[in-house]
Amino acid sequence: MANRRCIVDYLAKFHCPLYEDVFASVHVIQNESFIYLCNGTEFVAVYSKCEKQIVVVYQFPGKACLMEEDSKQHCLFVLCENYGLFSVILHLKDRFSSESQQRGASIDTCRVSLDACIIKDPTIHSFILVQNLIITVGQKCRVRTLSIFGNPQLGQVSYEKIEELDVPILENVIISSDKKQVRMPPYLCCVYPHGQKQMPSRGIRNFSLEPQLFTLLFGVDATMLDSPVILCGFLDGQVYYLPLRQSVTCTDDLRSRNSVFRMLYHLGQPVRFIGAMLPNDKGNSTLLLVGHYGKIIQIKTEYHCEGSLPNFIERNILGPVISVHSSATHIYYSTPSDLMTLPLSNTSEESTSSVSDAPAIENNLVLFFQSPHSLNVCKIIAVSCPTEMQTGEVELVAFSLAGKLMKIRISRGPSKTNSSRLSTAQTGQRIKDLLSGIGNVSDRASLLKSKIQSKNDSLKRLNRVFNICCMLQSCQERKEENCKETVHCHVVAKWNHLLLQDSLNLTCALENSSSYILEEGWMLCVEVKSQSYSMSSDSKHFSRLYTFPIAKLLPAQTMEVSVPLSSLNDLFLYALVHCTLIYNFQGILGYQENGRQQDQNSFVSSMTFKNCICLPLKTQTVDILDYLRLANLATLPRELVIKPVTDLVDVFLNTSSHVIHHCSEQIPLKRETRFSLEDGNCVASIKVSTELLKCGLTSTTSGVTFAASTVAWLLSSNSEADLLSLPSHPVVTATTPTGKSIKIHAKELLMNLKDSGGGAQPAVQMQFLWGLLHQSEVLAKKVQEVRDHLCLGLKISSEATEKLLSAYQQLRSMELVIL
Amino acid sequence: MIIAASLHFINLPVCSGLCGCWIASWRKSWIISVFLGWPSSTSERSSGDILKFMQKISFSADSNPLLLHVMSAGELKDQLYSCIVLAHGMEILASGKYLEAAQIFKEATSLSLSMKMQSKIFTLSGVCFQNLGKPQTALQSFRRALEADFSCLYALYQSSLVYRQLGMADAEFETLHLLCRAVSVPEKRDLIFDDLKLIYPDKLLRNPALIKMFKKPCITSVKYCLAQRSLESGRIDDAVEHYLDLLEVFQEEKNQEVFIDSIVSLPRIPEIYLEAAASLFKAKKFWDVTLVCEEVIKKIAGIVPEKLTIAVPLKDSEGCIPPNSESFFTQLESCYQKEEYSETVQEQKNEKLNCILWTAAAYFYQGWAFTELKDTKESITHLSRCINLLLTVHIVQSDGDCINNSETGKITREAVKLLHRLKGLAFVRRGISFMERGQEKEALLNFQLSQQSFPESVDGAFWLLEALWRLGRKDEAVSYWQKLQESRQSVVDINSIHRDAVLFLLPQQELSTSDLETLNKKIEEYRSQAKP
Repeated sequence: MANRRCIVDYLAKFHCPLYEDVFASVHVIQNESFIYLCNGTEFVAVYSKCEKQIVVVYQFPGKACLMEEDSKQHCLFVLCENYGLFSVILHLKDRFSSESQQRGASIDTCRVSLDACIIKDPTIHSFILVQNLIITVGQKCRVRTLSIFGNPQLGQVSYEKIEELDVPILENVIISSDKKQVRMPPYLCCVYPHGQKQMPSRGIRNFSLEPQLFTLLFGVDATMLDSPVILCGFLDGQVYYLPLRQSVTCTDDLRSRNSVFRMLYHLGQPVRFIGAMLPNDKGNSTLLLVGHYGKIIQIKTEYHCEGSLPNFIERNILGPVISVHSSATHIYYSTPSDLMTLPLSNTSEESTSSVSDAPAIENNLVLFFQSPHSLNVCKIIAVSCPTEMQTGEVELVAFSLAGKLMKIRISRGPSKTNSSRLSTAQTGQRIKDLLSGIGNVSDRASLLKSKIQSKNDSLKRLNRVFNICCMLQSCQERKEENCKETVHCHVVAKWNHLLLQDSLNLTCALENSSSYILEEGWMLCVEVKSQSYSMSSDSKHFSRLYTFPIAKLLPAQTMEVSVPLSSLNDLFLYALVHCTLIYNFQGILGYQENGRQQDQNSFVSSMTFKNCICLPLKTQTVDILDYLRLANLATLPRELVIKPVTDLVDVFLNTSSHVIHHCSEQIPLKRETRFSLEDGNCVASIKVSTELLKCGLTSTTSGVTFAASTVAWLLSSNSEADLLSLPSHPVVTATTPTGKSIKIHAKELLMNLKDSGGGAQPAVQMQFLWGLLHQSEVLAKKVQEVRDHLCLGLKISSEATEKLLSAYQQLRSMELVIL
Repeated sequence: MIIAASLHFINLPVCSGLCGCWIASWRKSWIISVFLGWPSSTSERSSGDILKFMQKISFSADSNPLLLHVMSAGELKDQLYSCIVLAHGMEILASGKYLEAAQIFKEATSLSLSMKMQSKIFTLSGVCFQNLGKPQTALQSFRRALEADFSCLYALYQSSLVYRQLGMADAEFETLHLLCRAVSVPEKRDLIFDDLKLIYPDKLLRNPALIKMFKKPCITSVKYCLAQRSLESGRIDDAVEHYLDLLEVFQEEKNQEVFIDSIVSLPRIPEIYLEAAASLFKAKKFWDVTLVCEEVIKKIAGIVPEKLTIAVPLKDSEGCIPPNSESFFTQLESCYQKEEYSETVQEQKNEKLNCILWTAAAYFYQGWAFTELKDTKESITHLSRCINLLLTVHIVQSDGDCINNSETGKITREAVKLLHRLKGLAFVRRGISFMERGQEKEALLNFQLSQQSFPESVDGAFWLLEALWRLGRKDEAVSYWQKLQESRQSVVDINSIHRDAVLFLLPQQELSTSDLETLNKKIEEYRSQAKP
């Protein structure tokens, strides 16, 4: 059973046309040395088993749809659609003797002419060779005709019609030409009582039955006349029998015993196969009918005291059955999916051979074990008659839908468990086998289940990731302030006092105010890009990247991470902080430990970002103002703390444009902020119009000077400014991270109107700008002059050096004016 | 009619093709409608007499000259007409109007027809005369048919039947021998002009009854016919020869003759074997009898039931009584009975009964043959087998069942009659064997049993008397003899009983009248002695 193994050898490859019902006209026949194949086209190929190649291909005028071999006369009979029956004499024996040495000899192609048509009748659907007769069944409209042809002179090719009989069609059966219905030729076969000493070897559809069953089925007369009986299985499921030797007065009534045709069985589905099985010393003991949809009828003799009766045992297999053949004990059939074998051992033989009558239950048990087994060969559309080898193997030739001609060898297995009764040990073993099989199957099932589960989970995760992406993207498209329900990131520089050492940290707070969960697989990536202001020749940017995997961030939760800033060797003027949410797609496929390991290495080389989604959250500049250490700060009203803004200059520019547009009549005031960074009393000043500042500092409170509130505003993003209340003093002293002191001083001063009178008008501002432009143009000319000088290859004179120096000084003294 | 109108434009061959189809399926009105377009007198057309109508149709020969190469219009018309005559005649013949049919055929003979058609028409008119009780005229017709075309073997067969009817055995056998020889010779397909024509009557006439009638009968059936007639008419040597010939044909492996559906239908094959055995018996070839019977036994043995219950009605002519009461139980019972004795079941039972009868008859002949061969022990063995087999049939008297009045019921009754008869005969033969072995008591018992199962048997009665006489129970013998004499006067003569028996159980007339007379004399003497 389970130990039935099969070996498949591919013999040749053919074209297999893919039209509907191609199965009906694909046939494979084999004898000891040759395989004949008609593949549903007009070609019939002959494959030599010895030469292991195709030797002849016959081309017929029409589609070849059925063939039979006459081994005695070395003839191949081929039925051609729309033409009739052709007979081809095979000259294979000669070839075999003469050219056996020449391997790989070319394939002969023979075009079969219409002269080879021995029976011209386009209505023929099926035929069979019986003794020296040819029996054809054709259908024209609603009339089925069975014709018997014989050749009176042996050796001649001509055939004459001896008899023509109409096969009755039952009135209630409608043979529709519906295209959905299966189309197949009527199945014809010929049965002999075993009394015939020499079984005619003409054709494969001739077989014998044991005389008792033969007599029961076909009558005493047929047995006593040794009459061959033709069995016709039709598309409508009717199986008729016709003893070739009988003498009755013809009536059309089927039910009467006097009809020439009598019905053997009504299968109720198209008849696919009729065969015989289970031979004993008297002949085959079982007649087998197989229907297209899987109904199998075994006809056996049932012993009964009131005379034996034919017993019709019905069983069903999973159809549709495309091609069937039976060996002595097994049925081999192909379904659209698989090639199957069904053992049909002789239960009745068992019951007679055993000492006592075998109980019915045991028979049922045997029947139970007679279940079809897969041979794991798929898409077989034609199976040849199996041949049993001497080794006990069974050899089939099959043709697949893909056009492969193959030889399938099936080993019988070590024990003949099928035919003998099972001992208790064997039963136990079988139960064990079955149980372990069940275990294997359930393991596989659970594995598959978990896979499905994980895939579902992945899909859910992917959905959430997608939602988050969409949300963030839509928030970026709109203005930030509009979306409240999103993921925010706040960046603050903070001094940390740890282990008697102060360190500057950058704290990023990721706030999930959306309704989605940020799960495993998401990462917060903080990139700090700083610019060194050291005097080294190449002032390069350097950046650090920090990634923080997010375990799980539920809605309304906040995650805080700290990044050291002071650990940077060089101090910097300002740092750009990019906060990005990154999703690694490996997270979708179940985020595992090894994935976490991977990101440690991989983020240095940003290659792995390719597999990720990057969602920029925020870019913020952290400058010196944000991390000045403030000393002795006076109190500053809380209200002054402005909401943290990303870029002060941006704000300036934003507000200034606002001012220019709406309140340009204001007199511009210059506000100067000076601070020194280096020990060498560096002073820098920025002049800002008071109007702008006023606009910016909307919430100026009374009692506090304008200058003081400006300082407070400047330091508003400093974390320490929150802790200490800023003084109402316009001067703030602080220390830089390197320990240098710094003083921020804000003062309000009136601008000296240089060239124009009406200072408050925009014309004045323009004039001022023009002045500046002119000045810079003069400077540029000077520098160009010096450069030209140098280009001429002249030595740099002291004069030129002076000129350059003065130009530099003038450039330095130029004031940054923010309007 | 639209079809007719449009047919003006269709030329004649097309019409003939149509007609061919319609002749085959015999659609008279359609054929008439086709020719409505042709010029003919209106009176025939309206009368619907197709034959007269056809006769009057005249075709002009000026049609397409190319078509003339196939067949001239006039010729075609004749062919169509003859075909219609045949089909129409067959229709009337089948309906039993023989006189009318004969008239139609007679009119047709005046036409110029092909030989084949002529012979067919002659044969059919012969059949009509045969049925009209004019055997001589029928023979004339058949002779003319054969003169026209000898391949019309149906005429030959029919004439043999006529000769049998007339009691002309020699002529009958001559005819049958001729038939046999004609059939055995392989048909030579000489290319007559008829066969080369594209349109010929056989193509147009596809009437199944006609085809069946004029088909060449198969050799087997002709041989059987000859053998059977020989046996019936007492030509034993001929019968033996023909039967053995026939059996040889059956058993010959190389014989691949197909015979289906012939004019002479064969009986069941085992019966042919048994008839052969009977003829061999008559020819006193007893060993051959045993061999032939052995063949029958061997072939049927597989399906002979161990026991068989068969239902037979009480009386032959009992009407079918519908169930009067409609109670549930009776309905149930009738349903059950219907199922039990449904037609198919009854048929199957009949077949089984047949098997038993054939096997038993084979044993009977074997036993009897051994008696003749003076091997009484073997004889008793075989006859016992026969009797035991016959006793496995359990006959149930069923009352008023519908089935028993049907055809199958009749067959059952016949078979049961035969069974009793065979049983009686077997008992008699076994009794005789016992007598010869000197076991008179056993013999007497057998004769008594024989009389029980088959009281009409003369042999049985004779041997019973003989046995009683030998045992010295003379008074009993006399009283039995008297009873027999009384009953015999009321009963119809013995020959009638023999006549309706099947052929294979021939009247075994080995009782010579002298034997009977001596017995009668003996008893008369004893009576006269006893009276005073």
